[in-house]
Amino acid sequence: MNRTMLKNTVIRRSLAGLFLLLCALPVVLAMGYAALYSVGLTGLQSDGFMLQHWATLFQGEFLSSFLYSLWIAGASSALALATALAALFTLRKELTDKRVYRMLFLPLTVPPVVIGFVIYQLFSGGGILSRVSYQSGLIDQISHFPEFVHDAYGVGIILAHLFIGFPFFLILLLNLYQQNNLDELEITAASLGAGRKDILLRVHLPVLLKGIFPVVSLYTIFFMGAYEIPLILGQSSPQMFTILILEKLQRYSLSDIPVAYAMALFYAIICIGTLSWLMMQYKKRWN
Amino acid sequence: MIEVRQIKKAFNDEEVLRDVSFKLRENETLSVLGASGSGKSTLLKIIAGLLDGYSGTILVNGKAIDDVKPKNRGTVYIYQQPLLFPHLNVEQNIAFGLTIRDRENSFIQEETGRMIAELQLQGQEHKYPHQLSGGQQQRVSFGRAFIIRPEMLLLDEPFASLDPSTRRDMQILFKEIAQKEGITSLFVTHDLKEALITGDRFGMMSAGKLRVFDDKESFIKDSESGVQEEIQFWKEIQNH
Amino acid sequence: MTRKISITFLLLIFLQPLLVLLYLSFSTQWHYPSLFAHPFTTQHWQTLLSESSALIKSIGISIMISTLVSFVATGMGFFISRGIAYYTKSRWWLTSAYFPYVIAPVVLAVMLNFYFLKMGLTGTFAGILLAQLLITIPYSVIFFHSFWSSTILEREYLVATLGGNFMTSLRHAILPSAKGLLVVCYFQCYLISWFEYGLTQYIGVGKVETLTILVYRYISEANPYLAALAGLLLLIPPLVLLFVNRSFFIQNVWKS
Repeated sequence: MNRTMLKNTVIRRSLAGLFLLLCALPVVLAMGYAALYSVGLTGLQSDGFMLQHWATLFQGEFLSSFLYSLWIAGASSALALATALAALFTLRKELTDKRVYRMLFLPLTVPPVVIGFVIYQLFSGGGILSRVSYQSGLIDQISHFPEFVHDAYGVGIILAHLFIGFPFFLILLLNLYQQNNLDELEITAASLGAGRKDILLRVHLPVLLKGIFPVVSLYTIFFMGAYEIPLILGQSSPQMFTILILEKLQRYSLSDIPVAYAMALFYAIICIGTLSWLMMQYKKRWN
Repeated sequence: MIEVRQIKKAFNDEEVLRDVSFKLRENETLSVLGASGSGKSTLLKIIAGLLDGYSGTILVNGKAIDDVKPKNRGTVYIYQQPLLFPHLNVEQNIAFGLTIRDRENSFIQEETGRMIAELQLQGQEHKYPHQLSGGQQQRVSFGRAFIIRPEMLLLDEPFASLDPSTRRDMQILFKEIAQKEGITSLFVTHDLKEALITGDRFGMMSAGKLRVFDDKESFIKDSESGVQEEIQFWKEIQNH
Repeated sequence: MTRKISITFLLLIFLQPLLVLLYLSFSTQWHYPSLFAHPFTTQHWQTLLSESSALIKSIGISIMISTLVSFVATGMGFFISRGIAYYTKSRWWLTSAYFPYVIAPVVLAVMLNFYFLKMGLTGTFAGILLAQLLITIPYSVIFFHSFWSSTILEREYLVATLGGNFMTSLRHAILPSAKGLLVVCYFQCYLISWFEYGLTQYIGVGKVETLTILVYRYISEANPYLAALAGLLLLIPPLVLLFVNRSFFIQNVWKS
């Protein structure tokens, strides 16, 4: 792109400066403060530089919380992707019908706090499904209904994430299928002697998974940093990372605050690191 | 030997193919010339097994293949777009047909290497389709088809999207490799020169009917083939 | 037949939030194990229409915040992205625009809270606006980045060579092509703001009660009826937008 014509240095510098001020600076300030607090250089109990709080991050409830969040995020993405792929291969013709395609956007209209609330009302012990089970004789006491919310595996949270992830991934997969001419590639592979299994494993899946990988990675990070849904559906211990961060900041134990900042900074570094890695991997797509 | 007998096909009461019959000998290329809408692509798709609802029959070495699925017909269809597998590099794309047939790695490597050399793609083995030019992509597409020694190659204006000089190079390359590999092919085009360069025998498709000429001379002499007009045109240019 | 059943099943799954919210918003004394045996009432909907309703107040706050945030974010993002597209070479400029968007908003709020406290913005309307702009402006920059192609630049050159200034260029070369995108970005930023909970709750310390915060308040007060009603109100703008144009939902920043 030829930039020689738009030479106005004042405008050029102002726009770049505005970008830095509004987009980059807040992140730098945020991470800077969190870094300083987490190593004891600022804050209510700053005792000088120390890495103790970072060490605490990889033990006990913090480590459990991190692993729990990883489990939730990984399971949510994997399940959403698997179900979206299954729907793509079994219902693709129906899904390309305009009215059916439009229906895939319905879950995107629901905010996370509402999804969390609805899942709770459906799947909790006193919820709609429990009542249906009781009325149909499947259970005879409320306590016989399985635990889907506030449970150890985060089933309710995963279901809520599935509600968001499944339609979004399916929409992307449908678009990827079309953009990559998978119908014609299928014919080409068949004419070269490939059977249905070969076409699925050697053509369809590699192309689709490669195409959707950046989005699935980003959604895994988003699921890991989920707040509203685990707030309503999560258990008390271990908690999701973001819930624990806020709890530590808002409770009375001052010694927990630097660890909370270390957690926040740690999470931010993971997000930025993953994003930067993805950008470098897929740099060709940006040109 | 491939024989097509009295193929008739209509779309919505409109006859697209009318009693199309011809024989294709082994190792020969039949170039079929025809304008857009003459039914050339429909004929190719029927032979490939991609279209049904036609009358007539297709025989390969005396056996009817009308009920045989596309993947079992031994015909490879080459489109105008190379349709390379985007997630595989040049080597892997060319080797695809052999890989799915579970051939030994040593055999696959040897055949792929040979094909890459014939197609003048040395140095490009590890590149992906988006890193190749149009001509290179089409060469890979050919290599992918040639390597499995299909019964018949069906080419649907494969060079139409290339620039003139690349197109000419590809026509010559195709002719050389088809002869060397002993491939039987049906090459469809709307370009007269391309038909003359690539074909051993020639056909003309017009309004769903096919006329086949047994040799180049009779094709050139025929008033409808367009060759005489072309010769006349260049003579007039020269005289002025 | 199985396919039709599967599609119908999917549709029901997608509609279940709406159905559950409607069911609860008209319910009362919803004691276990009643499904339909409990009373149904319009009492909660009537609360909505009363003047002192917290719901009405929240709707107003949410609409104001979302309208302002999306207007400012779209406008600023549009011009800032022009600067990035035209004046910078490194891909890292655009990559860094993703950072505020990719870190969970509530985590960003936690790390920035110190500054909001120092500036006296915690618990204020202005504070919420600023906090939400910090995630929507970068989103808008990314959204518009691919708009500033060589085609637009060449049109700007053309206007310049014909004697026009920047305003002429804006009016004749840029806005005619950008109109549709500006509308889409506006609504996408509107939805980001409309749905926002964690960051709004943390910076607002519960004093600025948007509709999402009200939903959560009702949930914590174990009032599922009003939570359902508030949830339904939250669904209205997105459903209207979906009906009008589903492109408001596809986040094209991830297009590849």
